[in-house]
Amino acid sequence: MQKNNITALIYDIQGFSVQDGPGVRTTVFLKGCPLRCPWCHSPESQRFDRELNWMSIRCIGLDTCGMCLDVCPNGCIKAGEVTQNAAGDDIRYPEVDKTNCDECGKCAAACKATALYMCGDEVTIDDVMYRIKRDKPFFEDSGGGVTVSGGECLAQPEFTLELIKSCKELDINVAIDTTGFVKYDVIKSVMPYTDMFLYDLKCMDSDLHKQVIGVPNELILENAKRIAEAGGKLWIRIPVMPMYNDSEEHFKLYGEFLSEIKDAVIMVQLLPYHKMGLSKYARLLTNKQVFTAEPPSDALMDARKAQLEAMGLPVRIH
Amino acid sequence: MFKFAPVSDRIKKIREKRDAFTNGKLITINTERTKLYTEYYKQHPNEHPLLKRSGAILYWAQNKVCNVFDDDIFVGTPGPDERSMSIYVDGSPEFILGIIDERTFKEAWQSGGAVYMSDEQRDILAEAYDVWKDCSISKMFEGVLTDDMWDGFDNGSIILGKGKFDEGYTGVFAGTQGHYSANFKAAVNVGFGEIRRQALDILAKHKGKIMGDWAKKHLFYTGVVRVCDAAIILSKRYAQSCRAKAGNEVNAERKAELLQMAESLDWIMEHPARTYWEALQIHIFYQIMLSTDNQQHGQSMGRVDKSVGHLLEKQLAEGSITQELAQEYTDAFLLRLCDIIVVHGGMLNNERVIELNKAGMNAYMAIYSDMTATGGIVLTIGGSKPNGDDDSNAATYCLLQTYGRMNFTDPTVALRVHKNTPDEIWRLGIESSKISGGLPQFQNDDIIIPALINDGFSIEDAYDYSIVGCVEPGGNGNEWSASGATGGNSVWSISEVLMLVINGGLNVRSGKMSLPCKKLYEYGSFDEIKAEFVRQMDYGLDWAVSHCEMFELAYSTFYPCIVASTMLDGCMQSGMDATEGGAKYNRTGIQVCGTANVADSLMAIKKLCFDDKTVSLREMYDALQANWVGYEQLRQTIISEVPHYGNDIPEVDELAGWALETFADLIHTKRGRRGYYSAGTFTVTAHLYFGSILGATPDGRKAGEPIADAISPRQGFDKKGPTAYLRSALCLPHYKLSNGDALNIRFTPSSVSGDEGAQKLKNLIYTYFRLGGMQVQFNVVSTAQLREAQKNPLEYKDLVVRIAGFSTYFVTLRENLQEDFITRTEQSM
Repeated sequence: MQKNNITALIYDIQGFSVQDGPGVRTTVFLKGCPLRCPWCHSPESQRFDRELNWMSIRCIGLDTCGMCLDVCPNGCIKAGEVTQNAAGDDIRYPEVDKTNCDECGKCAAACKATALYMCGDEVTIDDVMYRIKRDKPFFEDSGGGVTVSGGECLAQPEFTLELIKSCKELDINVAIDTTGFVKYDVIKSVMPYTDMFLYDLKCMDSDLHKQVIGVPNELILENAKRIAEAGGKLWIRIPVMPMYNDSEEHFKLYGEFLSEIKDAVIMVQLLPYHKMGLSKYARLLTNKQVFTAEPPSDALMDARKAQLEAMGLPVRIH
Repeated sequence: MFKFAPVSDRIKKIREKRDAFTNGKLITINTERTKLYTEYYKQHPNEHPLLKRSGAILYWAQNKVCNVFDDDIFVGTPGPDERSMSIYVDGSPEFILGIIDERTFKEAWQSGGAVYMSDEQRDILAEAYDVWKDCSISKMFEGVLTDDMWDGFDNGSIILGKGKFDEGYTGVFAGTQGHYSANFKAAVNVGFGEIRRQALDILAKHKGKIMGDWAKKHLFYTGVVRVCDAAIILSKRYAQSCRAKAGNEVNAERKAELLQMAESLDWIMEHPARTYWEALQIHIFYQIMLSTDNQQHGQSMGRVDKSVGHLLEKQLAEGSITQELAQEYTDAFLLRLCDIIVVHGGMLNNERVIELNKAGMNAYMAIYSDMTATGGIVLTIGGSKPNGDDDSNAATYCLLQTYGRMNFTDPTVALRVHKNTPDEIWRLGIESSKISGGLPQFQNDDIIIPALINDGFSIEDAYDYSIVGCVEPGGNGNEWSASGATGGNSVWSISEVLMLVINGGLNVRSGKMSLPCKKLYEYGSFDEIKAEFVRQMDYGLDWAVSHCEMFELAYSTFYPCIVASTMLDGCMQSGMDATEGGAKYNRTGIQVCGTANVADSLMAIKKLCFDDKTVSLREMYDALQANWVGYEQLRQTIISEVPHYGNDIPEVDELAGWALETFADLIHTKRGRRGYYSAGTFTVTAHLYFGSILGATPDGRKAGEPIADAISPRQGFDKKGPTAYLRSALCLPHYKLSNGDALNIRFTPSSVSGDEGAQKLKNLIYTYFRLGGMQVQFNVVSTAQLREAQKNPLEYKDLVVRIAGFSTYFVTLRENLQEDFITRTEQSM
C-alpha cells in the first residue's frame, strides 16, 4: 500500500511539547479513543470522527454576520437572545442544539470567524512529516523526538506504524503515548520503531477501572508486562485523581506492579489532575457530566513521589 | 534546583539603602551639571564648539561636588547627592517651562513625592532656559534645515514627523544622538595620561605650523588634553574626599579601606588599572563623564568582562583577591552604575509628577515608565575568539552571578554565545534571564560576526564586537555606530510604506504626497504591487537618510562628542571628532517595525485578490477606507483563512523575508558623511505609536491598533507554538541585519520551571541560533500574573519584564504598552 493513501484524523500537532517524553518533542495527537476517562482534559480527542465545536469568544454576532443561521439542514441553529460578550458589548450569539446534528460541517464552513469549527483534520503521512522535519533540528540539540499520542494512536495502527517508520528513516527518536488498551499484536507491530512507550496506568483496581472508565484494566497491565518482557522501554504516566487513585494504599499497588517490571521502567511521571480541560467541554456543546475536583496538593504529590522512589523507581511530577 | 547564592551583608545593606532612596522619597534632581555647563557657556560664548565642550567637562570636573558616602565600595555620582536624577537642557530646554511654573511647582516637587527639587534648583533651571533656548540641539538642527527639507516630514517617509515620538517626548529631536560603545578597554588598559601625552606631542610638533586642514585638528587635540585633564582631576578629587572621610572614620578597617581607595584613585584614570577594583572604578568614572558630556541614549560599556577579566584572573592566581570579594566588587559595581540616572526632560512636567505622586507609585520608577533609568547602558559579556575558543573569563561568571541574584532592570546585559559557549555560562545566563525578566539577552556570535565582516570590520575587530543600546552589534571602542540613528528617524514603520502603495502615494494621515503611484484597485498584478513597494521604500529611506545627515551636520558642528572621541580608536589618529567620522568604523543604523503586518497584508491581497479571486482589489480598498465597518466578514475571513507570519507557513514567511531583505538591501546602499547605513529591526516601543497613527491594513488590523514589534508576528497570531514561530523568524535575513534584531518570546512559568525547563530553553535558543537566528530575549511570566499585576500594581511593583531593548517594571508601563505586552502570545511547552 502506498504510504500516502493512508490517512488519519488528528486534532493537533504540538511543537516544542515538553511533557511528552524526554527532550524537545513534537507531539502528534490522533483523534479517537476507546476509553472514556471522566477527567479527560482533551474531550475533543475521544470521538473517531470530526465534530462541531463552538467558541463564543470568536463570534462577531448575528447582527454583523448571521451566516450560520440558514445553512443547517437539520435545523439545529437558531438565533439567541441579546447577551454580552467578554468585552461587555451587546451581542447575539447563535443557539446550537446538537440533538439532531449529524456533524456535516456546513455551519462551520459558513462561519468566517471560525467560532463554529470542525475539530479533526484528515492528514496524510507527508502532511505530518513536513512539520516533523521542520522541527527536527530542535530534537537533535535536546535529545528529543516525536511523540505519537491521542486519543489512542494505536487505535489507528496503520497510520501510526507508517508514521513512525518514516521517523525512523530520519533517525528520529519515537515515543508512543498509549492507554495500553489495544491488542498486543498492534503493540508488537510498532515495537521495532518505538524507542519508548509513554504508558498510562490510570488505576490498579480493575473493577474501579471498569466502573469509572468503562473497561477493565487486565489487558492494560498484561500489555505492560509483555512490553517489558520483549525489551521495550516504559515511561509510565499516572494521572493523580483525587478520591480515585491518589491514596497511599493505591500507590502501594502501583509500586508493587511497577517493581515487577522495574527494568523496563525508565520514568514514572505523576500528572496531577488539573481543571484546564474543563472549558473544552463547553466547546463541544455537550451536556455531559464532567468530573471535577480540587487538584491534589503539592504535599500529596511529593508524598506519592517519595513513596514510589522508596521502591527504587525513577519518579517525576509533571 | 538551581539557585543563585545570596549577596553579602555589605551588598545587602547598600541595596537596601538604595531601595530606601527609591521608596522613601529621597531621590533628588541633579542640577549641578546644568549649573556648571550653563556657567561655562555664559563665560565662553565665543569658544569653538570643540573647545567649549571640552572646556565645559573640565570646568565640571574642577568644580563638581565629590562626595564619598558611607558604605561606598566604589565612588562617583553624577551629582552631589547619593541618588539623583540628572536632567539635561542641551537637547530641547522647552520642558523647563513645564517645571518652573509657580502654580504647580511646590505640589509636584516639594510635597512628599518621591523626587525632590529645591527652589534653588528651580532657579538654576530657569536661568539655564534663558541661556540654552537659543543654542539647544533642536535649535541648531532647525538652523541647518533648509525650507525644502521640511517637505519630507509627514509625507509618509519621515514618519516621526515634527518631533512627537510619543507623548513622552516634546520639542524637536531631543536626545537622539549616541548609540555607540565607548572605548572602556583603553580607558582601563591605556589610561588618560598616555592619551594626554600623545595629544601634547602632536600639538608640540605642529606648534606654529598650522597649515592645510590642521586648524580643526589643532582644536581637537587641545580638546583631548582638556578631557584627559578632566578625567585625571576627577579621580584625584575623589581621592581627596576619600582621605577626608578616612580622617573622620573610627572603624579601623573602613579607614584602611578608604585610604587604599584614595591611593588607587590617585593612580587611576591617569595610569592603566592594576587591579580588578581599579578597572571597575575606571568604568564608573568614564561612564559618568560620558553621561555628563551629553545626554546620549545607548552609551554602551562594551565587553566589560574582556576589559577587566585579565586583572581579576591575575589577582585570583596570585591570591590578592578572594572569589567572595571579587563577587562583592561586581555587585557593588552594578549598584553604582544604577546611580547614574538620566531622564528625558520631555517626560518631566509638573502635572505628570503630581499625577504619579497621587497614584502613590514610586515616582522614580514611574517617571521611567517605558524607558531605562541609566539611559541605555548595556554591558556585553562572553563571546568567542577568532580561533573559535570561548573568550569568557572569571569576570564573565561574576557578572552573570550579579545579574542572577540582584534582579536589576537596568543597566542591561547582553551575553554573546557561540557554538563553543560552556554549559555553565549557558546555565547562569538562562537562570538569570528566567528570574530577572530577560537579562541577559542572548546574541549569536556565529551570525553577527560574519555580518560585521560583511560591513567592513576586520576579523579581529568583528570578533571583538559589543552590543550597543538595545541589541545592536557594533565595534567595541572603535566605532561611531550611531545604531539608534541620528535625529528623529531612528525607527521606521515599514507598514506605512505599504499604505502609500495602497493609497496612490498619499499619506492619508497628513494629506501629504510621497511618490505618486496607482491606488490599490488600479494595479494589474501582485508583482506590480511589490515593485511599487520597493520604489516607495527607496524614496522614503532617501528622505530618512537626508534628515539623519542634516542632523549629523548640526551635531558635529555644534555638539562634537569630545569626551567619547578622546578614547575611541581612530579619532586620535585622524585628529577628528567621532561625529565628523574620526573613529575607525562608522555606520548609522535605521530600524523597522511592522514587518509582520506587511507580510500578512501582502498575503491577504495575493491570496484573496489574485490567487483565489474571491475579493476584488476595489472591495479590499473600500474595506480599508471604511476601517472594515461593513466588511466584518471579509476581515474575519482574512483572520481565519489567510496565512499569517509566525506559524511556519512558507508562502507568508517568504513575504516577510522579502520585505525585510528589501529594506536591508536598500539601506545598505545609502552612504552618509561618515559611512554606510545598516539595517536593524528592534523598535523599542515605537510600534505602538506607529500603529496609533496608521489606518486599517489588509491583514485585518483596524486603524490605530498596534503594529507588530521588531521581528515578532502580529500580537496573538502565532498559534503553532515556539518552534513554528522560530521557524518563521528564520525565514528573515538575519545575516543582513547587522544593526541588530530582537526576537521576543514569552513563556508561562510552569513550562520552563526547574532544571529541565532551563535545559529545554537553552536547547530552544541553541537550535534557533544554529539555524541562523541572531538574538533572543525571553520573558517568563503568565498572562494571569500580568492581569493580576494590572489590578494590584503595588503588590507587583517588582515584576520586571523585557519589552524591547530594555527591561522595566511592568506596572510602570503605560496602559497601552501593558496591553501590547499581554497580547503577545504566551508560549507554553
